[in-house]
Amino acid sequence: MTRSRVDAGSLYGTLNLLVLQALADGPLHGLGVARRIQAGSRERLQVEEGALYPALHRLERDGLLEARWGTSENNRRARFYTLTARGRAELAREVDRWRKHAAAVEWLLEGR
Amino acid sequence: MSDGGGEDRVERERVQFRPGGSPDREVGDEVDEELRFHLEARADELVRQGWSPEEAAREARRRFGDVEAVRSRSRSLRVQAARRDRLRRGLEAFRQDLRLAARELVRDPALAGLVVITLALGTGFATALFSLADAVLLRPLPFPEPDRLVYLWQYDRATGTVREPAGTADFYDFRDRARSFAGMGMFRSRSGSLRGDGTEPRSLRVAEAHHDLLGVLGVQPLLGRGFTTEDTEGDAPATILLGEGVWRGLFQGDPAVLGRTVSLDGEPVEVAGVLPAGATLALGSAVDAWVPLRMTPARATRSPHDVTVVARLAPGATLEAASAEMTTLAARMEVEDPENRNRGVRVESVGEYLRGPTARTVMVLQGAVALLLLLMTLNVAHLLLSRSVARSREAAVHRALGAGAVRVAGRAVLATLLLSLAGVVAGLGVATLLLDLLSPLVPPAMRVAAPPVLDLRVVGFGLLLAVLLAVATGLPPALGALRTDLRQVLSGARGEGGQAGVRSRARPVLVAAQGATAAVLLVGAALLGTTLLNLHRVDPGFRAEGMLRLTLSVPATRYPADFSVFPEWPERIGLMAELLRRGGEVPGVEAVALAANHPLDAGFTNSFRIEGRPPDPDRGEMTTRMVTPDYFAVTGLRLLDGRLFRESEGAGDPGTVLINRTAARRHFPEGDALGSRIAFWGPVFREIVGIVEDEHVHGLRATPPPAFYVNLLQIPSAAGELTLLARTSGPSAGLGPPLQRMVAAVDPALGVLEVASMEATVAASLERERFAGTVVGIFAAMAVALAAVGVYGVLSYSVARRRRELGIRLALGAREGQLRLGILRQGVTWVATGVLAGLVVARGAGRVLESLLFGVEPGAVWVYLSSGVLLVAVALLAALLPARRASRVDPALSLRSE
Repeated sequence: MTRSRVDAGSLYGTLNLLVLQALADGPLHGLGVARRIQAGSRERLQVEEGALYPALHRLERDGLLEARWGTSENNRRARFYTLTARGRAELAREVDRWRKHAAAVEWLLEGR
Repeated sequence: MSDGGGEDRVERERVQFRPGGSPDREVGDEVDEELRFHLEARADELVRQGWSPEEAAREARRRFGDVEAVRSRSRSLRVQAARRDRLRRGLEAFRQDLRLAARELVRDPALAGLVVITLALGTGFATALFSLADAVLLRPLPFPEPDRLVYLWQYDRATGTVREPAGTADFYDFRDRARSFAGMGMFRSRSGSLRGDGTEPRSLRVAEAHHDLLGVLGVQPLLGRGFTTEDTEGDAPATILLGEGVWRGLFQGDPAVLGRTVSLDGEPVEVAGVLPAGATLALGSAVDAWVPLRMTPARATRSPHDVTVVARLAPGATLEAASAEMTTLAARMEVEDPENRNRGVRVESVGEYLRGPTARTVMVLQGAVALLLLLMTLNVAHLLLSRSVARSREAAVHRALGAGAVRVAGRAVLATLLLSLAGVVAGLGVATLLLDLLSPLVPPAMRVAAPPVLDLRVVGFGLLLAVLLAVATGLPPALGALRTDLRQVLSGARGEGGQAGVRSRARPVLVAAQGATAAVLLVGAALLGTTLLNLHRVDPGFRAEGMLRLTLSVPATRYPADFSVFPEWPERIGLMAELLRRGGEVPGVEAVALAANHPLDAGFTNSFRIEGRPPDPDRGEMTTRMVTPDYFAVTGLRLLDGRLFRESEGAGDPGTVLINRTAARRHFPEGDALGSRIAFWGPVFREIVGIVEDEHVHGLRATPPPAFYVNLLQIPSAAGELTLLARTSGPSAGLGPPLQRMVAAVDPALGVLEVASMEATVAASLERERFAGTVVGIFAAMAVALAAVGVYGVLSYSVARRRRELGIRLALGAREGQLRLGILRQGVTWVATGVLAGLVVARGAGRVLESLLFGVEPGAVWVYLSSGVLLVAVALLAALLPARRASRVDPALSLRSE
């Protein structure tokens, strides 16, 4: 299992996509985003958890995310992130870009 | 606790140690908390999966990566985000405030309109006057070290003249004997007719200049060279320097004009250079071209007095020292030469001479503008103060709902700033209009180089004024609103409590200050208005309506004036006869006359002897009027005794002369003028055959000088200029062109230098007084209106505020009349106090006006009395309506309404 994991941060430009996608179903705190990425990729994608925070804060600064303090599942104060309307639009664009990119790489590999 | 936990605690302590407060710090704390949550929640999760707490903490950290790097990166991102957020919120708040302020202004359009109009007029007048002062007073003359340039005038103690040109011999004496000057030049001006190759002859003003003049002024020719000793004292061929205007106009600014030969009065002259337009400024009148003044010390004479002497003070010499030296020199010259008897020398700064009269007028107007501006500021402050009462409830609510003090105050200033900016923009329009009206005030010679314009500095001045006014008038009400106690406002306790009390004390002071300002302006307007009336009542000695004057240039080349055969000048006498004959035939012209000078032009003076009396140098000189016999019919100058000139009297007949009333009274107090004989040019005695009324040749304000009249047809003038006067049957306006055509038909070589109606000439001579009077009059009217509005507003407000009290008093049996009287007394007392103070100030300020006044003392009691009475009466009228309202208060209603 450990061998098949991929460092998500090393895939160029995908971290934003992963973060936005993780938030597509509702607000999460930073740890929640990390868990969602792992779970959603069937444990195949591994994020260096610390790297999530600058990504979250950059998306927040750019108005794609909104943050609010709330209470975590075990009753602690945590910062929850939500997609803004602009964030949702950006997610759609990122997904589209990723699919085109992946398809192109796939064609290339098939042609080998 | 494990090592990891220990580290954690240290971390926490560091976080808590950081002093809070700054938003950036708070963001940092948040990041710390967020990361801590992550690490701790992850560790907890691992503990639940069976890890030991120490290992769980270590594993959480491992998965997290470099905590410090993440923290610092995230912090800077969050700080950026927070800043961006604050900016966005600030802009949003500002937009909201702006909308609020605009809505508020729209809600009270009368108030907004009043404030904008008030400010537009105030800043408009202020900026226009500033532009004018800049052009007239502040801009230096276009010469190096212009403060060092002086005129050397002569004056004559016997005739009381203060500024006379010098004789050429005097110039050489001044130049060679005075030590206070670095250089000295002289000039005289005349008219001439210039013709380039193939162009029409053009009449222009020519300055004959000494070769040192341009050097003394420090003027560099635009092209070519100035004059040399060869030009003025040697036999060099005739040269001319063109003024910039003529060069551009007549020669299209062609540099190849240098060295070309043109014709001046029919003589060939070579163009030696071109002078900048500003060079003419020091001459006191516009000059189109310059020629050398051909003169040597050997040929120089004491009279005529026809050259203006310009000098530059020597380094280190003061004007006072130069004056003292010239006084000593003049006294010595008086002893040396009897012709210099009674003559002194006056040293006057060129700038002072050119700017003096206008400077005084501008200063008076600036004073008036400052007062008006003060009045307007008071009124605006007052209007806004009324507004702030309405707003204080709103502001107090805003405060209570958590709006910052700065924001509440800022919003109040913003509304005022919007208003004042609107006012200033409108004011710039007003200023542009005014400047067109004001420009004629600038002496024509100075207008040539520097017409007053609205420049950027002036616009900046206006904007600065707007901001200052906005803050000065917007802030105090805003601060007042902040001090307001919410409970007091909401409980409806109006008119009581400290804050309202401050205002009710401020209001009477505002009203009194308005009264004072209005009083000062009213007194000024009354003094200037009386001056104008007095000047219009002056009998000028002639009838200006329906009289036209043309100034003709008579070239000496075609009309020689050779004094060896005087007065046998057939060309000149023939020309005059022809002009008179053909002029009389022009339709619409009733009569024409010729004269050396028009009735408002003093011309020159001559010394004279009375037959049978010993020569008396203290008798002084008489103004010399050279006119054709029709002059009296054309001008309407009345004969008092004896007879006028006869048409039949020609050059061969015995010479006759007329004198004016002043001359008869001064020199023939026994009434023996008629039949007496006087001599003025050479030894010939001529008989006084008539006495005529005084003409105000020095202007309406000046006392007419003693004058004698000679018949131009008998004694022709050698001057290069001649004035043609026409009496018209209807309005004189349309007759200029036909008369000009008539002159051209008589001889195309004659130039027409100027065409003007005598009415316009009289009006122009009163320009300064009329202008100052009109402006100050308008200001005074505005001031009175503003004061009335002020009294009305304050009393209305006071009545509204005291409705409850008035109602109670009425209910308790007070009579309506009593209440009414109380209100009236209140208003009138405020205004009267202010007016009294204003009159005292006006008495002091009246001295500034003194030089503009005519026939009225700056301290004339009736002016102050009537101004005071008028203002108090206006205040009374303005108080009447609020007073009536006070007595109409319905006790029952007013008690219930609170």
